[in-house]
Amino acid sequence: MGNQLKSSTVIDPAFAPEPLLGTNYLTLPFRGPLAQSIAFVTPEFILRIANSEKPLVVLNFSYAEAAPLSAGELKLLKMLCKACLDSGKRLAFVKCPDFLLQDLEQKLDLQGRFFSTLSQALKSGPEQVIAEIGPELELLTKAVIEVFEKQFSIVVIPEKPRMLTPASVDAKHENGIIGLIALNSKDAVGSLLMRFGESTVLKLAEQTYGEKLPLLNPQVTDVAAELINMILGCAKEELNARGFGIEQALPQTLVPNPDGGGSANTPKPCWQINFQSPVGELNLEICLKRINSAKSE
Amino acid sequence: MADVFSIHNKAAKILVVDDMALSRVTGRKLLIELGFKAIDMAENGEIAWTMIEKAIADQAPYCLLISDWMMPVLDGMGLLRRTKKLESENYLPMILSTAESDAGQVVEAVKQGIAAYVRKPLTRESLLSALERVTAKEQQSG
Repeated sequence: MGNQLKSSTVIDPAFAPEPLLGTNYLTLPFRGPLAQSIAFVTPEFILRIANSEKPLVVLNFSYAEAAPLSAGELKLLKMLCKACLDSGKRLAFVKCPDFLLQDLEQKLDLQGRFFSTLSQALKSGPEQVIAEIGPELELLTKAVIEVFEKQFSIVVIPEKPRMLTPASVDAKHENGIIGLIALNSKDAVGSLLMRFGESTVLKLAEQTYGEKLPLLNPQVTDVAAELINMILGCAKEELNARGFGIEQALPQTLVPNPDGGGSANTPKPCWQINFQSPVGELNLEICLKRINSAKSE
Repeated sequence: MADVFSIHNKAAKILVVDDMALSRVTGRKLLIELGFKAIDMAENGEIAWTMIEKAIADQAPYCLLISDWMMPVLDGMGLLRRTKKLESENYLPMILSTAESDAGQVVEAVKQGIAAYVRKPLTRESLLSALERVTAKEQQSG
């Protein structure tokens, strides 16, 4: 009864749930007896899946057809699911009737944590953010380049954008300041944030004012707010032509506490783009989501 | 009585208004590079208005205003409305300096009566172009 895995059980590699990579998610296709597949859920496998860049993990097997899982098998499955959730991923458990999904969630002590269809999971998560603002990232990157060139005659070079999820470990930032502006309209919601390392903003201020000023001087903190305002300004016409309808907003400067408290972050998931510059550390965080999208499933 | 602004009159008295020090100081630096010598600065429209009134009372009025749009206390449009009420002899043209790129909003500001606008970040070329437009307008109406 059931598929109790015994030490003498021969593990058929054909049952190994090799992840299939979709654009924004990966699928673990558990084939055949679940227990055979679960045997491949080793700590190394769990780490590999949890460290994947894909924000959504789809567990694809017909739970209704699988024989009941043993306590050991449930434990392995729970470890896998928990590792994924802890690293900020979402989980979809497809081909599983709702009532059985609830049963499984209860057994794994992960109530309410699974989506039951892929389309639901994609609709409510970061994949929409990725799909929605991919082209806009280029627009905002160009705006940063233009602003720094015109304002400071400095060339900044963007690195590859990366997506930050709720569980992402923030890159260690030099103590510095943040310029922040809301991206709000009836059609979209989000925020735009630029982090300046301390030495970066002090160099920009010195170039502007012709003297060395302390970090907390209003003339220095103004630099962050005004720059993020200009960056949005450069991109706004095109963003609005694309239907975002961004309204005017007041930029702000935030100065995180030296002990790390009060650090500002855009809501996650968001995109982060680091820029190489001759004046030091700069990075842009963008979170932007349509709220009246024409796309629907 | 205020002098009619001309880009060729490097003694023209100019007031730069912006709540952000970066843009205020940049505007002033660029004007100095373009040869202008009498440049004052203000942090918001209300302070600017006080300076404008005092300059008129001192019989040394400003010839040109370069103002940001969004400012606390009194914003650029609010300042524009006040300057429109000045006696014609103290007419003060305004260049609106803005990060705003939305054409609709800029058109609205033009309708309200700004003499020219310039997009931030300010550059020597963009500011020069705006100053030339104001000069041309002043010469036409003169």
